[in-house]
Amino acid sequence: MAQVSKAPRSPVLHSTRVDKVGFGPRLALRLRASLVIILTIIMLIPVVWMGMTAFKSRPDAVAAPAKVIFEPTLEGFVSLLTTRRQLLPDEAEEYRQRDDLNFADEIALKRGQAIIGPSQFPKQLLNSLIIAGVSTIFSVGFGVLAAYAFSRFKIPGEDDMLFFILSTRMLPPVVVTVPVFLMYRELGLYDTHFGLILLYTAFNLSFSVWLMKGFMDEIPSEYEEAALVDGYTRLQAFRKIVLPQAVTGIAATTVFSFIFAWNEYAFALMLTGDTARTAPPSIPSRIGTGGVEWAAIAAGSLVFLIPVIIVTFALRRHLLRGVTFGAIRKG
Amino acid sequence: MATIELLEVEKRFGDFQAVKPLNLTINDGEFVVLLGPSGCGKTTTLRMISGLEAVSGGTILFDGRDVTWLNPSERNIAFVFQFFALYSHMTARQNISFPLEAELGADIDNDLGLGEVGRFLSQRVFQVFMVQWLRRRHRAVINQRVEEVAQLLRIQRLLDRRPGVLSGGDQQRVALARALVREPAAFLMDEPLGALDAEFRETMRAEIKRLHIDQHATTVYVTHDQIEAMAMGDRIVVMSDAEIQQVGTPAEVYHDPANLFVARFIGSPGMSLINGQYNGQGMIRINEGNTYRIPDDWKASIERGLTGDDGEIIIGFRPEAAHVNGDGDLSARVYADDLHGGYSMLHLDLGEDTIVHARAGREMQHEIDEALRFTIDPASVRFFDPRTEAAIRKAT
Repeated sequence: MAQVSKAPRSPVLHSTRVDKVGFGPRLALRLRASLVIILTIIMLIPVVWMGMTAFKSRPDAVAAPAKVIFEPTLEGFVSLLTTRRQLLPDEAEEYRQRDDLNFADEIALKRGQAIIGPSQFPKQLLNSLIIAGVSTIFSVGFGVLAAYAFSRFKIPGEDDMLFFILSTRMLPPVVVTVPVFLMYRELGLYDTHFGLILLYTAFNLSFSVWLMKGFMDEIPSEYEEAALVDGYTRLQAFRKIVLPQAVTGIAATTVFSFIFAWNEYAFALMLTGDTARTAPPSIPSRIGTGGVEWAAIAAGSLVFLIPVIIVTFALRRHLLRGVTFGAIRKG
Repeated sequence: MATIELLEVEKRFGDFQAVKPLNLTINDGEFVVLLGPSGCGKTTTLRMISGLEAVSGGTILFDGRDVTWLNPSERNIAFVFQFFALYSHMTARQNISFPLEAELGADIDNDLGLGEVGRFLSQRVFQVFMVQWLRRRHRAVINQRVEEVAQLLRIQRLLDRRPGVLSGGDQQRVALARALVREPAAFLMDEPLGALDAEFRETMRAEIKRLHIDQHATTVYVTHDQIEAMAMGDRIVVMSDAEIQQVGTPAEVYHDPANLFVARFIGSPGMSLINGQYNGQGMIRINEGNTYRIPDDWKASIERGLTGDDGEIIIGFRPEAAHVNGDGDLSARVYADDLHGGYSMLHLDLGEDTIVHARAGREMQHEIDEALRFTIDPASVRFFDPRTEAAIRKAT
């Protein structure tokens, strides 16, 4: 005699699927969760280590065995943001007597140095922001328009063109640095913001066209058709209907494009001098008077991470939906 | 409201003929249903009327005005899509007012009464003040109009929700409201009930029909559901294989199908068809045991209408035209007996894989394989020529 199953007294908040509640599956779930946590920790160690190094003093940074517990100091940030001069012992003594020193001077003085001016780093960080930001806007903007055209209109040779666009990604960009360098020198684009913006836009465009085309294909063309019969032009329909629907894809493309342009190293090193130098090539070249300034490099890397983290976090909600695709609901 | 005329309109996709040249006039205020199986070209025809699809040939007239090459936005039509095409990033209210917003820009220019130069100046100088003021005034009109339409469709309480949280029926009501809000020249509906549950479909079918009666708007409605077409259309355009098979009122296409396709497609089940041979003396031989006597008033028409000389002919009748009785002139075995609530549908096997359908009272019980006799109501029987597949017309 079959028993009538009773309704649970309290709301069921966990899964009741047979393949999820048995002992074996639950153990497997625990194991998988543990594995994910362990992997996350392993991946975060370098970042945490970098964060720690940024606040270490010079001897602590190079101490062996490595120090996990140490006295935090802003020494790294001071040497990152300033240029200093090594003081002679009696000069240092004289400096110590002075009472018009701010806290940065005090830190520098501990190492027997005097601050003589700001460093290039803030300017380079600003260059990075300008170049990465503008090239992201360009590549996403053009990418969205091109992807829309590829997705909606019958274009002769469409597949060939898409392949051609992708083919710019088929060799490592570094391969072409020398020719690009020669061309840029001829064209007067060497060491200009515009030069790097142009280059990064060109490299990101293939990526953004392909990524956005996937998202555009997901948006039912009925949406724009509805707007078209309702009295809107194609461009108005694009702005009012397609763009809001594509926001997920735009966010994902923006993050990826921004990260590429922000992190790019080889071209930035080859094609810029003092004016348009971005942060990536300048961070590892902070070699002070007494060897590699590990604390300064770590501090620079930490500051360098912040904009990417902000952009990614701001778009995180869209990004999570975006990278899983197929997330646009019909109707 | 407008009269829509299609003259030799056709559509080709490369070598594929999606719609063969067709002629059709949809009268002002008429509810015309384009009916056919999927891939028959009915949706393409609708999209050509809307301007979303360009014609490959022919002319489309709205009230005598040539609109063949006008943009969809210039035709003053409303389109209701199968999957509603509601904008998920807007509330129901914004969705409904969306078509009116498109007119707003144009209206403001007209209200200012300025020419091209004036418009240019106005956009630079007066814009901030004048346009803001006019925009507010128009906004009030728009809001009022949205409320009216919402009331008509009983969706006032849903206006501030997003489409994603609405039920299928309510989504379709919002889509209908968006179509209605702008008093267009014609409504074009592409299977608007196709995405709804069976239960909602019945309700919405009645609502759309009622809306049409109240608004008296020229409507072109595409569906593959013949029950929907019968229930809603003033006229039905039956399409198949990229061409029109028949145009007529629901009663005409049901009782007088123009050809075998329409006979099979309309009705549930479709018309019962029996192959036979005409012997020249008013009798059709069906098989060993069965011979059908042609009603007297059909004889002359059949003799004139048959194209072949071997006498091949098809007899057609609707389930309700077949009556089971002991002294009927056709004999058959019961193949199956379905109870449909108010009546039962008998599937009768005449032999040689010929199954026909007869409607019978639900109180009558029939055993499987029981032999019985039935007659066909002489007023409702139809004849087809198997060569041309066309119906044989009765001479009057």
